[in-house]
Order: sequence, then structure tokens, then C-alpha cells
Amino acid sequence: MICFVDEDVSQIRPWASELRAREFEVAIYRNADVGFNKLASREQVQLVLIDVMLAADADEARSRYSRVATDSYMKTGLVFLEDLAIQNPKLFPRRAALLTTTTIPKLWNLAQETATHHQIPLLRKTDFASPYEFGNRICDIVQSIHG
Amino acid sequence: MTDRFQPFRDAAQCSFTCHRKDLYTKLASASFDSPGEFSVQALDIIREVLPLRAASLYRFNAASDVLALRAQSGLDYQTYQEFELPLNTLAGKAVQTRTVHSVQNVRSSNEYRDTALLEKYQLYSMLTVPLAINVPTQYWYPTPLGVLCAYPEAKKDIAGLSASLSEAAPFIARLYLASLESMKMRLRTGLVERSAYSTDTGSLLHRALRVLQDELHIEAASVFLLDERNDFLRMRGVTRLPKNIRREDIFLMPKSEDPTYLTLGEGKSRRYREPFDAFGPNERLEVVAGARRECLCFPIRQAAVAPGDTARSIGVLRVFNKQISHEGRTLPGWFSWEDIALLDFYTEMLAILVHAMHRRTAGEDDFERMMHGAKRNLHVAIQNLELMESRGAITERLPAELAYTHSNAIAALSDIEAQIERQDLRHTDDLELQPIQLWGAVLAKMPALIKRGTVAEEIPRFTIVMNEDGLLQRLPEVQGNLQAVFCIFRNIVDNAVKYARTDGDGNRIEFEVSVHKETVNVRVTDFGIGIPACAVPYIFVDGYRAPNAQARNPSGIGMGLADVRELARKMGGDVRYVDGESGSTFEVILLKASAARKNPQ
Repeated sequence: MICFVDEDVSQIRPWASELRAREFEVAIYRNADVGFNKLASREQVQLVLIDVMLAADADEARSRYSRVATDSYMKTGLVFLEDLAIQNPKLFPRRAALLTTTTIPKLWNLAQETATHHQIPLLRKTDFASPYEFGNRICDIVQSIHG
Repeated sequence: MTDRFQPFRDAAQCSFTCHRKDLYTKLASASFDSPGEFSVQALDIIREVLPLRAASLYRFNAASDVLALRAQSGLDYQTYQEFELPLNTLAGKAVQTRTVHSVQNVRSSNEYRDTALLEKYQLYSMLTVPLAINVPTQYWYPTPLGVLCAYPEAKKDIAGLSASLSEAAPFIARLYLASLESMKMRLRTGLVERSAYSTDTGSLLHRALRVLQDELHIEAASVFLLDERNDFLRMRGVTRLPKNIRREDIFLMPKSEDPTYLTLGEGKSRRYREPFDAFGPNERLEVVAGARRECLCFPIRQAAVAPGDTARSIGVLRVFNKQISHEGRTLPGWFSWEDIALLDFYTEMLAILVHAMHRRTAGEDDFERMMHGAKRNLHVAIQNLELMESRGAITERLPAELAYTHSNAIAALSDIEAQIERQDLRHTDDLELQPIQLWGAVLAKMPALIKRGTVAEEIPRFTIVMNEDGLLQRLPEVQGNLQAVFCIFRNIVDNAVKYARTDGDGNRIEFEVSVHKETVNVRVTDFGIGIPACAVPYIFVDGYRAPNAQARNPSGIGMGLADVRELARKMGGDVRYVDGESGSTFEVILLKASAARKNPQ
């Protein structure tokens, strides 16, 4: 299974469709809290694609991810990744990749630092001219993880 | 409203009655030209003009009823902050009585504290002169401001000196206040000058804190601004953080009992001396050279307030440790009422500049947000259309005469996306450079772009000619920004399509790649309408379009070639026009990744 953890469903739906056409099972989790509930104790997953500027549960009191910790939800995805790495070290961070459209240099640098530190890919959404190109890249990543 | 220059006018008025015009002239100059050092310079000047062996200046600390040493001339105390005089001393008497006192033989007086000083500097007599005036100002000041202690040369006329100093005292006091106004002008000038070079709030505050250090001799400082959406303080400027502490680690200060946050809430300045436990661990505070001795926190109040509203606090200025210069040494001191008056003024100025910067950047931020949203929507639209096309969902269902519509839509949306991206990249100061596989990442995608363009523009099909596959796939990596390199080639092939011949089947585009010692060069030749010789010198100028191109009235605003050349040059390469027989040839020059590694820029 390949999971997207990203609230921008309309943006990723063509990609999810492409991956399904390539016979991957695909799930989309719309915010970090849902993603955490689904993935923290999961035994197996091929790849989790995490949006850097990810949404969290609208009810801050209920969410694991506060405004302060995520810098006003600018880096929720990065905090979420660290959280998963602690809760499920068997799968994470190795089976994760980061996705972003950010043009904010500070945030991009932070995402890059995180990706380099964990040795996981950082994918810029706008680099993919088509879902087909995206599908090719994901296949490459899955192959590099699982051989 | 109080006239800030009233003290100067008062001092000038006083000078007409002062016999010592030379004393007046020099003191007035010192007050205006070197306001930060006025205390020291005033003593030196007084000793130059009057027969004094030594002199010292104390300021009166009304809160604790002590006189604190401020400057000295002809004497040398090692540490200022420890030398405080209570009021039951000779100097203290001047404060209590507000009159001049003279002591013929100070060594026999039991009200003089430091007899070793008298011995060391051979001092025999002493005059204590209160510096008092009554001038309205915008800030509070003590009365008297302080005391001048003068030690006459041996056997000099004390009575005469007493009269001279009594006459000069109010004048000196007025100039002392006037020097504060001069300091404010210097602070204002420094802040405004440095803000002119600031591009955002962060750089503005960084420069502003340098002014604080240089002019007011504050050892360390930081500025926090309130993030109102999220109700926490965000550090936006600091003189220096400890090593290994990232600003992000203390970036955010949520509502708490931290004195910084309390200052914000109360809207009043606060003073702290050791210990500083309430501020949290030392390693999260501004770096100081020695011990942390004193901290002041000032609320930064809103600059622009609607009628009827009260200015609320929008941030906090936090300063640590006052430094005093003496005889070329920097000594620790305490913050004085003058420092507080100047820091109050400084935070007012800071609020105005922050407000001005916010207004300036708000428009830019709004535009950036709008463009980010537009790019996102374009990307979604293109991805969805591409998916439909790749599944044959369109070609199977549309009648033949509408088969072009899908490609048209993708081409148009892609064109907008490319223009926005090109502009974004062109205005990015630091392009992120990396090794790029020129063939796989860029050139291999050109045929698809060309094909789409020809369908959209309804022009005869292009023949695409490239070097033999073997060479292309063996190309060395080039150093560049992938998006920028793609933009460059995309622009050139878009132009080839836009300005292609619309009659016959002769359209051809050739890619000729050559590898050189430090570069990989790609010549792109089309056989379209070409560029007239008279237009060639201008084709890389912003907004220029050759006359025959204008006749085509194509889409776009004529920015492409200017953009692509600038992008190429930012990456250490270039884009050139090559004279040819027909059509147009552009040469894209890119640095090899290996060459870039040898000569990093």
C-alpha cells in the first residue's frame, strides 16, 4: 500500500489514480492526526508520502500537533514524520518521502535538512509534469526501499 | 507638546550671562557632537578652562537615594558600578541642600569616603556643585540631575572657582539634558538610515539592534514581536545567540510567566538584576561576555492607532548589560534614567519602522500568496487533464473536429504555469544548484512539448533533429537548477513553435549538443520566421519583440529571452544568439558539474 498524508485531495487524486493504474493499493489520509492513527501501529506499508505543510485536526485540543510545535502548521509534516519515527521505528522514517510545493526558502531548507538527516526523498510537487512522471518516480522510490 | 530643543535654547540663553564664553562654546559642541560621551568630555573641558586638578561627575539615582559615579577626569577608579555614594557624604550634601559646598581641607573631613584617592592624586580641597534645572521634558528626570565634584589645583582661589562653577552649573545641567536630545537624533538617524537597506522585518531588526549596541553601548539585546493569530511571541532579532542554539528553538514564546511575556501583557517596562532564573536557562538567552548583571524589558507599542483606541503592545525589546567606556576600557555599568529615557524613545522609533515595513511587505505577501494559489490551481488542472489524456479518455469520446481542444487546454495552462515559474525563478536571489542529467531531465522532454505546441497552434508538424542517441545519453552532468534549465529550453522551443512557418511542411527544429572543457553547449535551431538583423542587438532586452514577431501578435509579453539569459547567467552559463542563414539559432551554455565543483562560486 502507498499512503498519501495530505489535505490537498484534488491535487493528489490524479497521482493516486495513476498509482492505482499501476496496481498499487492507495490510501489518502487528510491530516496528520488521521495519518498518525492509521500508521502508528501499522505493520506493513510500501511508502508513505507526507506533505510538509500538512493539516492537523481542526480541534486543537484534540490534535497531537499544536500550533506552537508546528510553527503555525507550516511544518506539521516534519513533526508528524518525527512522531511516526518514534512510534513505529520498524517502518519509519525509512518508508516515507516528503512532498511539498513550498517556495519559502526557510521552509524548503528545513524540509531538505529533515530529508537528508533521515535519508528519505524530498519531492517537489511541481516537478512532475504529469501523473505518469509521478508514477515513474514513485516506482523508483519503492524499488529502492524494497529492492 | 514639549519642544525637544528647548534645553539647547535655554543653554544658549544662559550663555549670554556666562563669563566663560570659551567654556560655553566647548561644552555646547561636546553636547551636540558627542552626546554619548558628554559626561566625560564635559569634565575634560572644565579642567581645561578652570584650574582643576581633577573632577568627577555623579548622577543622582532618586529611586535608591544614592549618587552613582558617571565620569571622571584626572582620576581613575577601576570599576564604576560599585562606586556609589550615599547622601551622608560631602557630595550627598549638595543633593540635599541644592547649593554649592566648598571644603578647604578635605583630608580632615570625616564625610569624605575615599581618603586613599586624596593621597594618590594629591588633592587638598573640593567643591561639590549640584546640577539642577527645572525644564519640562517628555520623560522623567531626577532633581538634581547629579553632582559635579571639582578638586582645585593646590593654593588656587576656591571662592573664585566656586562662583564660576555656580554660574556654569545650570548651563551644564541644561547641556546634559540637551545631550540626550542629541542622542535621540543620532538614534533616529541611525535607525532610519539602516532601515532603508532592509528588505524585511528580520533584517530591519538585526540592523536596528546594531544601532543600539553602537550608540548606547548595550551589550546584548533581542526583539520579540507578537504573533497575534497564535498569541505567542516570536523572536525576530537578536544580537547573538549561544552556539548550537537555533533561533527556531527559542523562536516561539507562548503565554507564560517569562518576564518578557509579562512585559508585553502589562505594557510597562521592567528591570531585573541577578538572578535571572525567571527567564529560563542561560543558554537560551542572548550571549554576553561575562556575567549577566541587569536586564531591561520594554514593551513595543503599536505605532498606528485608530482614534479612540489605546496603543497596545506588539512586541518586547529586551536588553542585557550596560557598558561604560573609560580611558579606552569597557567597564560594566548599570542602566541609568538616561538609558531608560533613550530606550523608551528607541522602542517608539522601532514600532514606527516595523509598522512601515509591515505595510510595505503586506502587499508583496498578498501577491505571493495569490500567485502560490494560482500555481497550485494550474498544477491541479494540468495534472487532471494529463491523466485524462494518458488514459485515452478524451480521444475516444470527442469528435475529430474537437480533438485539439484538450491539447489546447493543457498547452494554455502549461504556458501560464511556465510564465509564472520563469518570473519566480528570475526574481529568486539564490537558485538552488545541483548536478542535472541534461538529456533525461530536460532534452528528452522537448519533443513532447514541441508536439503539444504544434497541435495547440495548429501549425504543420515539426521534424525534430537531435544528436545521435549515444552521445546524448553519455552527456556529462551539468550544474544548474532543474526548473530553471527546463524553463530556458522550454522558452526557446515555445518561441520556435510560436514563430514557425505556417505554410508547408518545412518546420524543423534541430538540437546540436557539444561538450567542451568546462561547458556543455546546446544549439537550438529553428527554421521559422527568423530575427531581422536590426532586431538582433535588442532581443535580450526586457519587453522587446522584433517587428516581424510583433506582426504575429502572439501571446506573452516579450519577457522570455531576457528571463532565460538571466537564469542561465545565475547558474554560471549563458544564452547567446548565433547568426545563421535562416530561422533562429540560440546557444545555451551550461557549466559542467565537474567544472562547477572545481570552481565553486
